[in-house]
Amino acid sequence: MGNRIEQTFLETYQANTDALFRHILFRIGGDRDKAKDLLQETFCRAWKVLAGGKEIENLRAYFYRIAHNLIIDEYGKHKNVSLEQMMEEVEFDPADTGSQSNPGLGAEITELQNAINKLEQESRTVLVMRYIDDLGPNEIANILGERANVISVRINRATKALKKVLHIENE
Amino acid sequence: MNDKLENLISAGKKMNLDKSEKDVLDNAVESYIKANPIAHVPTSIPMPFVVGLVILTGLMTLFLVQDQENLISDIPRINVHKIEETATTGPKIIPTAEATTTPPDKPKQKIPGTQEP
Repeated sequence: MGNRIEQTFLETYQANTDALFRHILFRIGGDRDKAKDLLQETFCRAWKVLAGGKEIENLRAYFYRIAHNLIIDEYGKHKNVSLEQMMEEVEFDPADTGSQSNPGLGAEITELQNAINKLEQESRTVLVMRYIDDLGPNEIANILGERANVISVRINRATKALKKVLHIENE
Repeated sequence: MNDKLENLISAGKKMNLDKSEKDVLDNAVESYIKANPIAHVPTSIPMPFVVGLVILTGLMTLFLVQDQENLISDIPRINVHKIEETATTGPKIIPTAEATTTPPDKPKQKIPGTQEP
């Protein structure tokens, strides 16, 4: 039984490492080192719960929930500093995108990251989950503990806001 | 969705961990798993559950017995033997004291001209 749990955990870990890394990185404003720390912490916390004997139905969603809570906790630590200030402190380096195999991506990723940084936390969360992580409204609702229709409205608003920031005409 | 936005998003999706970063993470996670093995999952029924079950069964039995006693006490007591007897043989005729006692001897008529022995 223990082997089966470990195997499931490792499979889900391998399948979602990059997606979770992107998720954390975009949400915290591009601080790569911080994203790696939070990513490791996410997997360690999930394993601790599993090793304690708790059954988790959807491990992928559970990873996202832990990552989400860690990001919220991280912002909680810096209550005196506004989110915008934190974003400005982080210098997003296009060369530090981990996509050295395709250097042309750097500028686009920087533009996207900077646009996302200008949005409110709530909008940023749903946008990253919907478009970067490819999660459906139901799954996002499950992770955030909200109703699916609320999430759909939030995604719609956030998309409009992102387009505005990027100077794209709303269709 | 707009083409520009689609391009930006698809670029964002290509951002991954470098191989060296992934190796570091793999090692860290594997070490953590080894250091924190899965706790023994009890296969038997946990003791508090058993104790609770016993107490619950006892209480339920107690209530049932009490209910039964109440029901029994509500039923009027009937002499079953008497009913059976009445049903099969009809009412029993109990002879009265007059019927059973023999009438007193009538005084013998005195025949005139005779002497008593």
